[in-house]
Amino acid sequence: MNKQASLTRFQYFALIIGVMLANGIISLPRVVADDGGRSAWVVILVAGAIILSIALMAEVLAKIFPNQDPASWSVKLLGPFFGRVWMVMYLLRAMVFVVLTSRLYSTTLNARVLVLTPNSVLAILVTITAVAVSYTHMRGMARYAELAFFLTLPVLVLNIMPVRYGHTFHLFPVFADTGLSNFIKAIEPAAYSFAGFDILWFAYPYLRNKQKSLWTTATAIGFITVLYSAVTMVAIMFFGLERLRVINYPTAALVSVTEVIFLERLDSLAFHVWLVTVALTGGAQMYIAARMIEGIFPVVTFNKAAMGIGAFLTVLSIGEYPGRLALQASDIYGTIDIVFIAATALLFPLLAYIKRRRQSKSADS
Amino acid sequence: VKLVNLWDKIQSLLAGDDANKNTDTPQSVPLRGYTENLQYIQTRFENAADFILREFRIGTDGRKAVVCFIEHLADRTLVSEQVIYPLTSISSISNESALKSKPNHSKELLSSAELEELTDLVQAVNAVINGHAVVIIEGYSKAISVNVNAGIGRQVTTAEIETTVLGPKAAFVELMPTNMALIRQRVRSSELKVEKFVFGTKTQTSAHLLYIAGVAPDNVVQAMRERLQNLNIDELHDVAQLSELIEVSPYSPLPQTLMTERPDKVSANLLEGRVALFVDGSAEALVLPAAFSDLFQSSDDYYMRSLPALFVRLMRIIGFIVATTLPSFYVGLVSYNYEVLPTDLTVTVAEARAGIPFPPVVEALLMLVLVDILQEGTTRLPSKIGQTVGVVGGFVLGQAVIQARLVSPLMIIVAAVSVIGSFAAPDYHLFDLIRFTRYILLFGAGVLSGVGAVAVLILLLCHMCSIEILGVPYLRPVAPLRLGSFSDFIFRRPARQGSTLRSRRFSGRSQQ
Repeated sequence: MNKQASLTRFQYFALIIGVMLANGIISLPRVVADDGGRSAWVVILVAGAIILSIALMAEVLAKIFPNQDPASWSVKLLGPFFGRVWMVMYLLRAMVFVVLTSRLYSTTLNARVLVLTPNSVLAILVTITAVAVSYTHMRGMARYAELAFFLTLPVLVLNIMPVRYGHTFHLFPVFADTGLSNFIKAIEPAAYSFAGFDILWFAYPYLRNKQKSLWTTATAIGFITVLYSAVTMVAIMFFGLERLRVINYPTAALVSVTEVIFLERLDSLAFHVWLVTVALTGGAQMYIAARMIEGIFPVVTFNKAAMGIGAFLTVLSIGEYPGRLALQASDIYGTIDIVFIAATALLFPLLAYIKRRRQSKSADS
Repeated sequence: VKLVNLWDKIQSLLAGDDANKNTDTPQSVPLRGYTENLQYIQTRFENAADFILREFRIGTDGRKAVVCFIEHLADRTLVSEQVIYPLTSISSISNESALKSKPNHSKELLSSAELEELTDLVQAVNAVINGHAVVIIEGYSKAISVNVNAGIGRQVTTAEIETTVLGPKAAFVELMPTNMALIRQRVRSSELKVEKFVFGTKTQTSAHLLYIAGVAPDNVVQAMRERLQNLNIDELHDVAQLSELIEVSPYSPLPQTLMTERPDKVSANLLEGRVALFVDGSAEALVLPAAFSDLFQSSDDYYMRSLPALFVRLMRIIGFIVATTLPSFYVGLVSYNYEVLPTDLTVTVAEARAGIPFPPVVEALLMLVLVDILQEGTTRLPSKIGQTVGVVGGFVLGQAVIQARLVSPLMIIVAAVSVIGSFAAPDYHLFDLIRFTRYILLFGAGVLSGVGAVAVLILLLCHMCSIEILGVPYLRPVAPLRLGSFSDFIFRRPARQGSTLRSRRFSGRSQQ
């Protein structure tokens, strides 16, 4: 694979944001407000800070192997057997992520826009677009991420616009209905919305200016955190806590109240455009899965692996599942995912350090 | 066993075919004796009525010589003046050993500006095919090729496809020397390099690669050179064919080279650091590497003031978006998501569609196919008949379709606006792309509403993101974002002293 360092810092930024953005934002204000109450937006800020620290650790790991991605460094650090075991786990994680992303999006579409279209048809559509995105490889995907960023930016602005109809009294006092245990409990479902930033491990080898990558990652996580927090704040202000807790897709509901001169129900259009970023999230995970297969079975080429995973997930998309199931699964998945990434980001640099010490000692002796 | 035998037979047949091919067109035949050389050339041009072979004797010592050329391709007067007259009028020619001691002797004997000594009969035949006169002298170990090309072709005329209101009007012609002169006239620099390639084992078509040394990145020139050197084809007729051969994705609907008939556009692009390709017999040039944004630029932009140019470019981009997406947007809204429209408009649409037997997607397809057939008809037919077809198709048929309640008036408006939007495309290939994209987006919207159209758009965007032409991303300067290059993307900077009119987008820095 040609790893010519060609990604700009903006592409790196857009890629991290784009992969995280599609997940969970549609239901985020509700799932966090369930336990977090009025302080839901503060919960997201705290969750963002935790994610930021994990992301920075992940960035440090990427810096240890500046020209390699996990398909290479996992074997180097864990050996051929355990390295492959880790890759299998990572592969499964990526595939579940694609399924969840496509299911959540198709369920939302099914519920609000295309009521008569079978859920599985929409899930297959998401899978196909995800395969297309992964097929462009890292450089193409980074370019696509740039375009997706600009295309979805207006949708994000629409989420914030109802702030003018909201009431600030819904926000204060911030910690009135939230104890510390509830506050901590509320962080857990927020995790899914931040999942996917580990794409930086795969993008880093392609990054042109590697010196300022930490700053770029921090900016991306910061941007997402502020955005999520702002959307949650607007949702609380607009709906109030009681109503918010019974709305399945509050972010979508926020867009639906926004009226532009000519178009009345913008949420329908926004949902269509949202596929652009959903495809990026799915595509990035598909890319990770294909790279893992390449790492596990070096004879399999990237394109064949991506096509195989695409075909498998398309078959998996056939059949109807209750939307609630996908939502519940995403909450559990988010926590497991963050723990997995955090453990890797913590342990692997340690392993690399020990390995280097051993090597230098044996060289000395 | 039978299958194996059959396979062996096919293979032997194929091998035999190849062997025949090889004997038909040998790669190299060294010059032999005068008579054998003459026989070889005569055999190669057997049954060619336009092949002329004129034997004569040189000077007083009576050494035999022959000049051969193809009538009409070579200029008879030039053959007489530059070949036959100088050779027949010299008093004597020294023997072969004397000729060998003066290898450039032929160049001293003949007065032509361009001549070449050949040691190979295949080269001699190729020279004759290319309009040269080939002289074979008895006892002389080399043949002499003299360029007496008649230069068949039309005079420089005004551009017909890329017309402009202001600025130069000249367009390329089918003659390579004229086209080279048109470029040299504009770029008077010794750094303008011209490399010659010959393609087609049967057609022997010459092509020229042009670039400005020091401006065009070396890697781009080298990549282009390698791609051309690796081409192995039987025939080459036009620059469009060459474009398909060098493209990274030949099945793509996207134009990956910039094809132009304007010398000013080529010279400006050369100064930007790109390379240009010319094919003999083709009145267009290819410019590479091309980006998608280039398709929205017209030469006119550089001859008008910068602010109006900005407005015009914006109109083109809006025209492109409207032309490609409006029918699918309309079908998506009317078929599935009418809640997006204001209530008053929804009522108007419902009233207009009342009594129409077809779903919106069929209605749209009907109209667009009709418009495209009309467009194709008016393009290919002679202009006077074309106008009549346009009137009959546009007015009469449109009116009849509405009265018969086959298509709603709103759909007529949508189709018309979409077609008008496509006319804003300054590049003919962009126009083709609009037509193609319109249909696939319509298909997506018809099957799965806006989500289907967006999915098709994603597939198209992915394809665009994956294309790199000579190492330059196709979506540059948008993806990857290059704010510096925006100065010539939508807004053209006014000319300033010490700065270039166009941005040097393809020179210097890495292109990723």
